[in-house]
Amino acid sequence: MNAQSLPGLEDVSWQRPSDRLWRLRVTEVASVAVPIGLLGGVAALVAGGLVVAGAVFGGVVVAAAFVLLMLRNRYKAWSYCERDDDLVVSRGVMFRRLSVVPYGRMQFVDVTAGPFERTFHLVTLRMHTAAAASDARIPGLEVEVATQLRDRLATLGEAMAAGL
Amino acid sequence: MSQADGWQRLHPLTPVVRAGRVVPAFILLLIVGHSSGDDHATSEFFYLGVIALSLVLGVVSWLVTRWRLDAATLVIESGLLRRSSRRLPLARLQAVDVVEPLLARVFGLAELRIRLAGSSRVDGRLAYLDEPTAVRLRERLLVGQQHAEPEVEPPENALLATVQLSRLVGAVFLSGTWAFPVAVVLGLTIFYPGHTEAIIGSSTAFLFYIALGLWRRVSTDYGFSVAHTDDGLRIRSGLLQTVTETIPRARIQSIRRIEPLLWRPLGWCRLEISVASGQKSSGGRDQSRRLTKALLPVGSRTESDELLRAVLGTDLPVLERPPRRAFVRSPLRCLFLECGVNDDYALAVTGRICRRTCYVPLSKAQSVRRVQGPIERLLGLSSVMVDVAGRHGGASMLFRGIDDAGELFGTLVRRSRAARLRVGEAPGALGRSGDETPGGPTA
Repeated sequence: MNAQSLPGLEDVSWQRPSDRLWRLRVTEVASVAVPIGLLGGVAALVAGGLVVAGAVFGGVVVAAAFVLLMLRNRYKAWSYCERDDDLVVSRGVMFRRLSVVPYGRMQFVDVTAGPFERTFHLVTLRMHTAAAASDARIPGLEVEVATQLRDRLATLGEAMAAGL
Repeated sequence: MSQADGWQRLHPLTPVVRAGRVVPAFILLLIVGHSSGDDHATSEFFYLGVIALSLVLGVVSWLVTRWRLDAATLVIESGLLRRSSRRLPLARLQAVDVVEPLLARVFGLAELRIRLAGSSRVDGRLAYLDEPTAVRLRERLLVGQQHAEPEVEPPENALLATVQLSRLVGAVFLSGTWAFPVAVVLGLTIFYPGHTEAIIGSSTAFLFYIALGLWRRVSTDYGFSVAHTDDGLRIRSGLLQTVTETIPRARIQSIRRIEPLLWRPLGWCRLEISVASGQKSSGGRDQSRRLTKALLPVGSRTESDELLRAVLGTDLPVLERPPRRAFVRSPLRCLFLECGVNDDYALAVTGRICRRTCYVPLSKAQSVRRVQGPIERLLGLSSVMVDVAGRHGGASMLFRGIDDAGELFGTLVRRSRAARLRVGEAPGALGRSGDETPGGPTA
C-alpha cells in the first residue's frame, strides 16, 4: 500500500527529508551504542573474561544494527508533498500513516531543532491544527528548505484561513 | 465610569447573591454547634463576621467590575489590586450560556458565560446581571453569528426534544456507577451479620457521596429541553440551578451518539455536542463538562434520530460495514464498526462495550489521516480518521478493506475541501469566522 497509489496522489511530486537525516540517525544510535558497548565490554572483561566481553560487545553491535535497519526504513518512508490546498505527509513502516492537512486549517507552524539536529543543520517542521490528533510533522529538513516551507505555509494558511 | 461611554456595571445585588452562597453552610454549622451545646455567642459572631466580610469584599469587587459591548468586542474589566481587562472578540464566539443559580433566581438575576474558540474554560463571565439584561445581551452577542446561520427554515423557538423525569431517573439509575459500592456494602453486611451497624456507620459518608452524585445528575438534567431559535440551538436544563446554553449551529464541530451497554436493551442513547472551546477531558470539574456537552441526556432511538436530523439538517449517509476479516483485528469492536460519507457529513461507529457514533460536518474537518498497523496490513485492512478540533472525538473509520479505505480517503479529502469552499463562499460569511450550512442551499 503506497501513498502514491491513492486517488489524487498519483502524479504529485513527493519530496523527502535531507540525506543528512540518515547521518543524523546513525550519529544518534552511535552516541548511545558506543558508550554502552565499550563500558559493558570492559565491565564484562573484568568480571567474566574475554568470551563474555565478546558476547556483550557482539550483542550491542547486533542490537545497534537492528535499530539502524529499522531507522533506515523509517527514514526512507518519510515523504511529503505540497498540493494546491493541502500538505500531505506520509510516514512509518510498521504503522504507515498518511495525513492530509489543509493549509486553511493551520493554526501555527513549529520549527524545532535539537542539539543533534543543530550540528547537522537540520530542523523538524510541524504544522498544528485545532485538532490534537492531526499530525503533520516533517523531520530532517535543511534549515533553508524548512524556512521557505514555513513561510509558504504561513502565507497559504493566511490566505485560505477557515474559522473554527 | 459613566454610562455615556458605554461602560456598564453588574447588578447591584451581586454582592448579596455572592455572599448568600455561604449562608446555607453556616446555618448548617450553627445548627450542629447548637445541638452540641457549645458557646453559641462566639460562633454566631464569627459567622456573622465572615458573612459581613464577604459582603464587603463583594461590594468592592462589584465597584471595580464593569463591562462594555462594542461593535465587535465585549470588554470586561475587573479586579482592584490586579486589574484585568478582557477583550472577547465576537467573531470567535462559540457559545453563550445563561446560568441561574437558585439564589440568583430568587432575585431575578442571571450569570452570563461566554465561550470562545480554543480555550479550556469559560472565557468571559458576567455575574450577575438582571435576567432581561442578560437575555438582551446574549441576543446582541449572537447577532454577530447571524451570518453563520443558514436561511432560517425552522419556525421560531421550535422545541426539538425534551426529557421526561422518569426516563432521566431511569437512565441515571441504569448508568450503574452506584452499583459497585452499594454491592460492596451489602456484601459486607451479609458476610459479617454481627457488624451491620459498624459497616453502615462507616460507609454512611461514602454512600451519601454517591447519592449526592446521582442526585446531581438528575438535578442537572432536570427539565431538559432543546429548541431551535434564531441564534442557534438553545439547550435548557436544571432543577435548582438552571443553565441555558445557546450554540450557533455553525459552531458545531461534531455530534456523538453514545449507547452504553445497560441502556441498549431499552433503546436509549445520549447525544453529545462538541464546540471548539475544548473542554479538557481530565480535571475534576465533571459537572461543568457535562453541562456543556449534552445535546440530549437520554432519549429513545427515534427521538435522537429526529433531533439529529433537525440539527444536522440533511439526510444521514448510508452506512457500510467493514469486511468480515476485521473480526480478527478487533472482535469486540467489530460488532459495531460502521461508517459512511455523504456530501456534508462523515459518520463513523466505533466502541467496544459502549457504542459510539460520531457525526462530523465535513466543513469542520481539520485533517484526514490514514493509518495502517502491522496486523491490519496482514489482513489487508486500513483505517481512516477525520480529525475535528479538540483533544479527541473525530470520526474513526476503522478497519476498512484496503481499496475501500483508499477510496474513502480520497473521497473525504475531496469532499471536505468542497465543503470548506462552499462555506467560504456562503453569502455573508466573514472571512475568518467560517461557518457551514447544513440544510442550507446545498441540502
